[in-house]
Amino acid sequence: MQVIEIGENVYQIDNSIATVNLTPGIQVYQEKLIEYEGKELRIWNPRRSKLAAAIVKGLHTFPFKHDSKVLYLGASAGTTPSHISDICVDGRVYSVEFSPTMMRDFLDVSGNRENLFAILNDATRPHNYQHLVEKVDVVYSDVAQATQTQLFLDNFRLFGKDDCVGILMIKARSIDVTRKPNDIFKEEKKRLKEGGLKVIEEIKLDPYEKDHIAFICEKNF
Amino acid sequence: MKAFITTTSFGFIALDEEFSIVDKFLFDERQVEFLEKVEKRELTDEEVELIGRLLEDYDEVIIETNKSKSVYDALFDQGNVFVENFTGHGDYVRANFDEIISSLTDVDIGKSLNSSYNILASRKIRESVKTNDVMIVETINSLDEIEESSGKLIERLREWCTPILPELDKLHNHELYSRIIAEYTSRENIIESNVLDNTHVSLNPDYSVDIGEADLMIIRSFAKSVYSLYETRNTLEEFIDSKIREVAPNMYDVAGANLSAKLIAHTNGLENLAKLPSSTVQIIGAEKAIFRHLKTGENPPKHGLIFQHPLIRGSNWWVRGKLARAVAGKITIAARKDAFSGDYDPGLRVELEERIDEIKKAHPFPERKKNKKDDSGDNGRKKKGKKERGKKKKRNKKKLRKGEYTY
Repeated sequence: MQVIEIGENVYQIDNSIATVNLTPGIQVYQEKLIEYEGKELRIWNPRRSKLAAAIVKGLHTFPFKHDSKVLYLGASAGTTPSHISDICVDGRVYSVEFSPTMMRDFLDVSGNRENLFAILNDATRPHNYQHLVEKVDVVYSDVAQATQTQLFLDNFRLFGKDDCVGILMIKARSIDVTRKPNDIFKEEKKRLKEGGLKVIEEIKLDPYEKDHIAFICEKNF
Repeated sequence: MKAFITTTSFGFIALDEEFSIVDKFLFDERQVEFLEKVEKRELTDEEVELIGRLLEDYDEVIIETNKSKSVYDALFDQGNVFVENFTGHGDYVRANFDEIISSLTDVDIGKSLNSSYNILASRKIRESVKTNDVMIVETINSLDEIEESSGKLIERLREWCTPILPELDKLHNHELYSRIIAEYTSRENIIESNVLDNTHVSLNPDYSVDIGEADLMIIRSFAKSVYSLYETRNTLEEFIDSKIREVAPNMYDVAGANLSAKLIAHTNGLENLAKLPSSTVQIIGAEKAIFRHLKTGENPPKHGLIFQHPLIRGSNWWVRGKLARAVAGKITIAARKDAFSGDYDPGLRVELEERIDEIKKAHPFPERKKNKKDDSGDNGRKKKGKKERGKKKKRNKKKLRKGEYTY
């Protein structure tokens, strides 16, 4: 077993990646736990998490540090947020999710992790939870919605610090099923530029996720 | 001089123009309680007090909030309280959140946020559960499942009993069939009980077969469970009927209990259904066809679940599309009345029937399709459709399940 540290609290084990488990002994989604040098590593499955898929596909800019503050839009059942909370041990992960059903699962995860904050709110209306969130280092958005770019921009402008890095996962199929994904990606990239952001990296997520792309962006001065 | 109030998760913080803290109100132990009030856009006494204190020293107070201005105007009518949903001072507080909060209080910020946000979210989840919707959705789904499985089981039971009671095959009522087998089972018992008196079926002693008591018992126990399925189905149907009548009386009038329940189940709640446009209501349940239409330019579906409406199903094919539109429109109005006002309007059904008669009278015969060459007003989509029609059709065979489509 070959283990390499590829980032703060992120390891590569042979062909898969893993994060250091913040809550040893507890699994979030039946993932494998591996003992390594007194730490417990949680395997990060790229088929379950788009961020893991982006890392496996060669993500260069990795903005998550041990003390990062993160705004996570579309927290769902807490699969990816749990790994981010593994990485940002001393940071805070503000996780916004709209569906009460998914939130119920998420609360099981955030109950065990002190750096995960559950916000049951609509990410398209950031002013409704503006009093609950502070300025953050990273805005991560994984909301499968037709207006996903717009809501990402709104949140980024409101909560992003000047050196904030934004990660936007776009699902072409939820913007328009009938059009070609590549055309949609181009259009959304243009929209990000018009919104005052600079796309510094773009990664297609296949074969892990079909018709998905990850845009990494920052403020354009 | 101006003062700026910002709401944070720990309290209301007031800054002056030079960004220094001049006043505050901290939630402390009552954090969850206050955050809930902020969420519901309620004005708290503590906030009013804070504004009052600030007005003594400052000419203007600017509040960053998403409450409407009228809430404040009722209390402070001098016109020196202003409401914004974003201020630079609020931005400053959020950017220097840690320094500001730790200068005011010495709680562990992370820990306190984690626990109170968890409580806040779980309370919101509890409020979001709409029992009526859940009941309707689950009952109609169970009803569907029961119908499917009872169909299979009754077929099995009939096959099993045919060698012993071949005459009963003519009995077309599945429920009665399973009840007879469950209660009487043997040929002698059925003859004695006179259950077949009002039916066109009679038992012929020539067909009598030798069968042991143990064999009859096993058939009986199977028949009993099949019959109990039919009983459950009946109770579920009654329940849906009364539930829809209570929750959505207008929809009950216009669409009937079963169709209303199916529409509500498909959209996961009455309120969601009420928010849909009537053109969407018209084709709910025909997702496969509408996506095929969008992809290949084929003709769009005329009706989805709404086809089950007796007024549409019982009409001639050439008016069904027109009727579907009218029915969908009325269903949408009914759903909105039920979801948002709750008033019962008996006129809806009458209006619908009038409109349907009108349509039927206007189109007594099928219209002949227009000559293709004369059609100069064709738009782009139609043309594309015709082009596609010439080619070999590639159909999207993947069946869309619930949750894989959005409206």
